Amino acid sequence: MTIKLKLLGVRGSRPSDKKSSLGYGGNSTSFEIVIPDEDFYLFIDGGSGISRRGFELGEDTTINKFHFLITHTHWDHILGLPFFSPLHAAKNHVNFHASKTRRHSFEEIFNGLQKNGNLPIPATQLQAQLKFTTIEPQVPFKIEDKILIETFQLNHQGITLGYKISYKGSSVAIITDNAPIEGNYMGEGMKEKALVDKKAFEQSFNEGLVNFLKDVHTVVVDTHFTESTLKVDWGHSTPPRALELCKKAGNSRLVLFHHAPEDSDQDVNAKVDSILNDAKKAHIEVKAAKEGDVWELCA
Amino acid sequence: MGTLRVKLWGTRGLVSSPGHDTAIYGGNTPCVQILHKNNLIIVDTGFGCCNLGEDLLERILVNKEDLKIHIFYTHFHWDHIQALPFFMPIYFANTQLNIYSPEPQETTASNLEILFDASYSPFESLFTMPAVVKVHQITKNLEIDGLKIDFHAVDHGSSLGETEAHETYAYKFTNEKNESIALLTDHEARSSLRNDSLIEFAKECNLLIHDAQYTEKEYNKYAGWGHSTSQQALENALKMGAVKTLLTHHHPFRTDVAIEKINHELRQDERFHSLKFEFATELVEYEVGNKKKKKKSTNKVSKVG
Repeated sequence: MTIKLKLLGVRGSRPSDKKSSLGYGGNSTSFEIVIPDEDFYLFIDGGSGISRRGFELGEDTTINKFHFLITHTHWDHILGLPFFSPLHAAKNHVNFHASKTRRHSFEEIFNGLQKNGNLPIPATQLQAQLKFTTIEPQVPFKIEDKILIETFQLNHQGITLGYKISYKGSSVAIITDNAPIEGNYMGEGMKEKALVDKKAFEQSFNEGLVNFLKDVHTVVVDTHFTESTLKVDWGHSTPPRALELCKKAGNSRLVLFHHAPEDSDQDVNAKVDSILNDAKKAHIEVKAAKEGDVWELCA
Repeated sequence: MGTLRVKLWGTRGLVSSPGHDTAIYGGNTPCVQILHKNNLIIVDTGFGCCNLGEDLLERILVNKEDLKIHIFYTHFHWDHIQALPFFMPIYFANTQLNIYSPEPQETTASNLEILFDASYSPFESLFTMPAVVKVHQITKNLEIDGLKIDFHAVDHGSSLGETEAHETYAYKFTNEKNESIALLTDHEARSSLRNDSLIEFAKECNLLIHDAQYTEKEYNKYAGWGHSTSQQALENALKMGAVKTLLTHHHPFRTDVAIEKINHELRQDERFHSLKFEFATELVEYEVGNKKKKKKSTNKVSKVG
């Protein structure tokens, strides 16, 4: 039995609500890994998409274990968390797995969301038993001893993690926020490494990312910009660059992600069209991430 | 040009809720624009302000305008402040952003600063953004180009924390013709001295925009959380003698269909037969004035008598 990837929020930077983008959806980043016959839930990031999912689940779930993999702590990836209903039930156990930056641990960030005067609901509402686990990039670990999680530090502010999730032979890789590295060192610690030897660092980053994605069937990749709108220091990438990555890594399906808040559904379609022919030649299926989509993951 | 109008860019409480099932009433968190002469006056920067910001881009980029924008904050809960870093005019050096709150400047500044903190955003500070940002503590008798702005603390719940860092405020905007808009978002209209005082504050306003997040059934659980039921809001409207009432701050997961159902039930309620009210719809421009009611135009402008 394979696991599935459910897209709860596909919009980048911030939630966006416009009539012209209702097709692909306006909720900000959140994913669910749907694992049949298990006694836990697994989510990636808590953008506004997680609040809606939480409303569906309610406080009274039969499954009481929840794991969150956090890519990074930009608002669009965490703002939905306090409104995730299962967090409001004392019988639930919620484990957040996240990197720790020089500035803050994830626990401090999460507590910051509940700051007196900012949280629109009583802080006492968040009654679930919480656990905060620090992840070191590139140190694999397992969720509930079953799901293998591998990470790679992406080129984005702080320590932004790309995730590869593997279970019983099927896998998916998720690269939510990642900018071109050439002359553009955004992640914590990257400038220092590049200072030693720029070319070597850039090569090792690019090769490392390809190896990380090697032969994964489905990859979800940041394609916030087009080549003409690209601003590398904003921390995001484009469809052609995502496709080049997939060609090198031998992936079968590329899911374009992190749609810009100003992108209409037509703009997203245009992004797909811009690389469709090239992708077909390379035998790579290209789709745009759509809220509510469920992808069955393959080997 | 002479009419006072209001446009709600966001009507949803707590958290953004975009989707097909909220597309009519809207899924953006609160932002209210007061349209008075050519002034740019908004209340709160929930994600609704982003669509306004995109609209304003044309004025900045094409018309080359130097925008002067006045932002009033009712309070600093995430849903009312969170979208400020995404409000496009803040990225332009020729934008002047005047930020107002009845709270001390340091309180306002520190609550907004966290939005630009480098742990949560790609920025460093509100004050290093390109726009010229000034934070003001407002006192009574503020006037902008003939528009009087008044404020009054509301009841935003006892369950939200005993040591609430700051108050939540209602605003009243009154033009030269004495036409007024009273905005009572995030107010729990339960029986209290404060509610009595607010009734006086908003007496006979032309347009009352009132929090109505809960149903009566939900209120059994959420009393003290700082929001009103639709019934409480309309009872206030009756006592205030408001000419027209917009019910806002919709529960994030209340679908358009569900809102319509509540709307229908309220209209069967005899108590409210004399009231003109509707559930606030995102992007509709409501006119506030004493003219005769006109037919709805395709630009979604609605007259208020």
